[in-house]
Amino acid sequence: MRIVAFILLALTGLSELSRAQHTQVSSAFRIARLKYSGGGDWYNDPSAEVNLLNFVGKNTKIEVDARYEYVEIASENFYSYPLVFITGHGNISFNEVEVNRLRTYLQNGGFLYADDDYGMDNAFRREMKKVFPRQELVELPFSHGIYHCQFDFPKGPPKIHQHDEKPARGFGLFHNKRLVVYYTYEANPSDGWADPQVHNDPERKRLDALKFGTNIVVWALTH
Amino acid sequence: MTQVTSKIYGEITSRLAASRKKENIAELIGGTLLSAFVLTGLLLLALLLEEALYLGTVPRTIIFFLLLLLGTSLILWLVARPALRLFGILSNESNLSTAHKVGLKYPHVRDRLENILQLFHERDRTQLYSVELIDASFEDVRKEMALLDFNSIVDYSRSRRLSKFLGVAVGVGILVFILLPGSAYRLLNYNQSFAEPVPFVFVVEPGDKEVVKGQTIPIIVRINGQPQQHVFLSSKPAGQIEYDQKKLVQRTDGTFRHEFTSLKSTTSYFVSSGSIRSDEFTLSVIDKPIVKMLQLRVTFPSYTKLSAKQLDNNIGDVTALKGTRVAFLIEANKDLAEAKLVFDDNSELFLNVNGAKASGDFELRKEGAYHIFLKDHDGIINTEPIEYTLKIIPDAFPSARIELPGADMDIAGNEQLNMLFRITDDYGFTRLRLAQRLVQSRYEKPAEEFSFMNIPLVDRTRAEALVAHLWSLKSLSLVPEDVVRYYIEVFDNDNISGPKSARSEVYTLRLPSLDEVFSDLDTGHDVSIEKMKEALENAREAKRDLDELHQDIRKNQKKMDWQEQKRTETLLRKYEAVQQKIDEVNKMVERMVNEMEKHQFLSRETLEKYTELQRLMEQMNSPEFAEAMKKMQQALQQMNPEAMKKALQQFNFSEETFRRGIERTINLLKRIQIEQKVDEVLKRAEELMKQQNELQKKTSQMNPRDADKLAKLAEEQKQLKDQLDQLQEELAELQKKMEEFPSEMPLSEIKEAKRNLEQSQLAELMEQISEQLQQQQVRQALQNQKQAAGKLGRFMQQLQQMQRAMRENQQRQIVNEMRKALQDLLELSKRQEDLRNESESLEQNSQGFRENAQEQMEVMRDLGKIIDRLSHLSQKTFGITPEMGKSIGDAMREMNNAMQSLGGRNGRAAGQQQSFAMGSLNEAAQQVQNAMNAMMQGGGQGIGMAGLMQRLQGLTGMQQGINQGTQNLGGMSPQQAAELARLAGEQGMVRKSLEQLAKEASNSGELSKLLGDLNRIAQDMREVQTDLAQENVNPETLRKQERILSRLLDSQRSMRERDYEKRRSAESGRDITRSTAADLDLTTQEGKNRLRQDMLKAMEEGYAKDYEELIKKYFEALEQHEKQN
Repeated sequence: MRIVAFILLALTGLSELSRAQHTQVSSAFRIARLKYSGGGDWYNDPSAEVNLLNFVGKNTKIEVDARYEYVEIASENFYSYPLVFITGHGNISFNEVEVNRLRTYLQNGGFLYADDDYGMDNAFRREMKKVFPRQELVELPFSHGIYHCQFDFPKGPPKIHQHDEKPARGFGLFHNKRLVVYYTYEANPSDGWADPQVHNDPERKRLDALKFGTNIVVWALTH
Repeated sequence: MTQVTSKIYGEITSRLAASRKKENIAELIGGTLLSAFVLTGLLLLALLLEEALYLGTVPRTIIFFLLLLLGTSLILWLVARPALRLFGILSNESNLSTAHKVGLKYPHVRDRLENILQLFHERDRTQLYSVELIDASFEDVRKEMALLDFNSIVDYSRSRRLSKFLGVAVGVGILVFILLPGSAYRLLNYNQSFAEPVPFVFVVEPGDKEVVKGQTIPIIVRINGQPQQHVFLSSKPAGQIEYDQKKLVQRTDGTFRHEFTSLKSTTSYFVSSGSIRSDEFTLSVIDKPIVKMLQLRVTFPSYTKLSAKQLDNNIGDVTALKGTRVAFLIEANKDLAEAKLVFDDNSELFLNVNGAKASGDFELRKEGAYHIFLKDHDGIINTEPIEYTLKIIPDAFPSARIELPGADMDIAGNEQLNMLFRITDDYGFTRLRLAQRLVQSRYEKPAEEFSFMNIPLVDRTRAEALVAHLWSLKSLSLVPEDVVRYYIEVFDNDNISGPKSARSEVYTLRLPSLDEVFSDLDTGHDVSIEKMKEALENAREAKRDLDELHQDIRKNQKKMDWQEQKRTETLLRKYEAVQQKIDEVNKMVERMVNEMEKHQFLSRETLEKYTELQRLMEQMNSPEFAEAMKKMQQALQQMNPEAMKKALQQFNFSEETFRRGIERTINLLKRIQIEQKVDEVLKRAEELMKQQNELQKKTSQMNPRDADKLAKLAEEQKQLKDQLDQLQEELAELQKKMEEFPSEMPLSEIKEAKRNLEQSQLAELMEQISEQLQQQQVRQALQNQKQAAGKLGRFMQQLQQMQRAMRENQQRQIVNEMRKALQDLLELSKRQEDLRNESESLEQNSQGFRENAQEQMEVMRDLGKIIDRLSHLSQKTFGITPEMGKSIGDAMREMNNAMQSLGGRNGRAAGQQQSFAMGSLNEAAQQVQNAMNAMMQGGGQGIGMAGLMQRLQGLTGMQQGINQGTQNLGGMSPQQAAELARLAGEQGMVRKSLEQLAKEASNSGELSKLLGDLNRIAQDMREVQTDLAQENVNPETLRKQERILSRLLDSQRSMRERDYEKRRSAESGRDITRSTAADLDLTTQEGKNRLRQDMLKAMEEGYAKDYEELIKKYFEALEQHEKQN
């Protein structure tokens, strides 16, 4: 009887230890790529987040888990990511459940970073209108903290990719004065996060992109 | 025994029996009370015991049955027994016993009563006593007993006492029952087990509840009893086996709270603390209806010709044209009772419901928003429905632009005006019309209204169309100085809101008088020459500075100082200014040429000369000169005297060419101006004659009595006379200009033409005609008009003769000089050949080296003379090409080298260099010969630009055909193989023609005008030809063909020297500077830019386009103002 009790105790102890270790791993900062329906290529440049997280890990005190992960709004673990990243070239579509869950996520501490990889603008604005019907994406002034919190970007978002040769712009959506959605248009920093051979961006541009991405992460985690 | 005794005995026993009955009643009462009292006491005891010990089933059963047994026993003994006695069922005590009790009660009676009773019983057996004695005794006892109350033996005091105790006991019992109902219940249900009472209990709200899916439910837990610190909530969604446990935090009011957020499935829960837990409750989740799938299909208005479009799933925002039909198909998660669209103006559209699906449609007529309302059969409605927007894409206004001419312009006459309109609309057009109005005229009253002319549209459904239109201005009957204003107006095909129209910009057409045009040209020429002279003067001045600088730098071997640096900078700036001036002149000449071309003032020869002149000016900013300037700048930055010296030397050489180029341009410009002036005079004369003839025609058709019209004709004739006067003045001016070049110009011819014109008294004749018309002498006027036309014709002939003479004279002179130069070059070549032969045979120590060097020197000197002559000749003709200059330059350089070799007694090297020099001389001679031949054949120079262009255009057309043919070929049938062979043959032919053309162009010095590398194109053609012949047409072949075509077109462009390819460089993001957005105002709305919102609101009001622009500008200005503040 005593032996059985001991074995039970030992098993319980191991399980607790394992749970504790798992919890410790999960505390590192992760970014999830948002998988959406509608037809847009939500999956492009999978190396982007990995490179950004590595950069963030090296240049800040944030502990990172540099992995490429993706998540759907409807999935159970959606709320477990402090920052969700959405990009693509085409259409996006959120259904009613997704709209409600995304709204809940953003209103309760979540942060969505969207980067128009060319051609996503209309769809993204339309879907965000579903999430926050009474709000407009507003352009952030260059004085906004997101442009200065870690690295200084006195002229706003850096222009990484040429697209339509328009100026790079950064927009935001706010909830209770907290920036909950940040959206870059005609800037495309996430292309600069990808592996160098993907877009052949000059090293200077890539560095700008990674620094800017770091600002987004730092801002999302501290506000 | 007597009767008396028996009677007394009977009385006594009756009395005793009555007493005994009463005694039995008393005993029954007392027993009952006692039993009740004892039982109540025991029950209380048991309750207290249960309450205190919370007994288990066994002891409770024992107690219960003990109580039952005891109660039964007591009742049997204390109640049943006396009752039975009372009713005689049980035997009562004997009379003796009762009598004994009476005796005890009454001491004086003692046992007498017993004795009597015994005596009676034993009356028959005893003989001791007489009957009488017995009777007497009985009588005595009877008397004595009569006074006694036998009932006194019955004692009620006990019952009274017991009743008091029993009252108390019953009272306590009731109280205990009330206070301890649990104990009583448990005791009564002795065989059921009961949980031991806990120190506290949970009160959980809401307990069991039905909730709508997605609802958030707060759980509030209160503790009754002993306060607890650690309270846990265990919950388990349906389907889950294990409970999830969560510790609850106590709030300040002592309660514990938890929220089940967005419940998705039925969840069981309970709260616990230590071993105590609440009941298990269930939150039963009921699905609220939601839209699982939304499908919209938009059917656009028919006029758009757009096919219906299915929007992506779950896209509910509709942005479409007014009149678009929007069909809905909604799929809910459950069966529906009702579904409708609720619009923001509170109107509703009920949808047809079929199970979980609903459908319906409406026509988009206005902007707004809507949401979908769903209700299921339980009456549950969907919550927080998405608010979708309805936006109307305004059917855009069409736009109209006049691409060609696209500016106010002067026209050359009653010509046809080539027009090109760009019209755009989102869905097509219904009509296009051209509006025109005469706004200014010397002879007519301006029109008050625009007149319209419909322009046919080939394809009305296109969103954008380029419409070419040839506007015949003849119908406008314009006369010089008339001004017409015009625009186009286009109408779209919106049949929902009605066709909208748009107008283009309004432009004017003006028919200038010849005088104006020529006057402008004169001014242009004068200004051009003046500017070139200024440029030359500036260049000379710069040259002086350059020489001084060169000298100073040569002197100062050590280092360049700041002053020299400054001087060099100034020098470079001066040259840049000169170049700028030349560019300005070039542009001015281009404008003049365009103007002259338009009015057809120029003969082909003069036009070619202008083109050559422009090319010459562009060549002045040659790459060599630019390179020399760049090197100067580099040396300047390096502050390196050696590098500076070298750069100066190189610059000096280029500068010389540059400056000579300016001089040549001035001289050529002057000569061309004369040629242009001759063309002008001819044009004036021609125009004059034409007008005179037209006037004559009008006069002949005139009613001789129509005084007004005749007066008008008289006025027109007067105008012609004025024009003739002007022509005479121009002629004098031309003569003056010709006198600057007396040896080249036909001075005698012009003088004669002038004299003849004066002697013909044409001006006077015209004056007379005018007067005759005024006086309605139509016949005489007609005769004189004929006469005037004849005189004008003769004058024109003289002018044409003069022009011919001028050209022949020029050509003769130039050809003569070229011939002379050719002879000299050939002679020099012969001398150079002799020298080479001699040099090659010289021994190293031979005296011949010196003589040979002297002879070489002379050859060089003579070549220098030829260069001077050719340079002089180049001031008159474009026939002297840069290629000639290059060949002669090469010869001179080789001669120089040969001189050095001769000095070094290196006969072999000298011979080789002399041989090269001879080759270059021969090449130059060949080029001069070609130029001369071309000139004699009547071309201006060489094979002629026009000819070259024409041939190149022909080749380009053929190449287009070959490309098209190749692209159209699909598989490889025998027919297609034959087609390929044909195309290969054609490609070969085009290649050969191109090679021939390249060769000719090279020989005539025209090759430099072709920016494209014709030989490289030919190489590509050869490869394509091989692919075609081998039936190996691949994507690379097609690409090569495209490249060939593109290069051929480039070559033509380069010949025109007007278009320059603009290369678009592909780069990754270039930084684009822009100003920051306005500061955010998060206090009112979430970052909403109020100003922008206001603007959007204003725009929604549906203002006209112009007003929209104004509104935008207004808000932009406001925004700017806000930023500044």
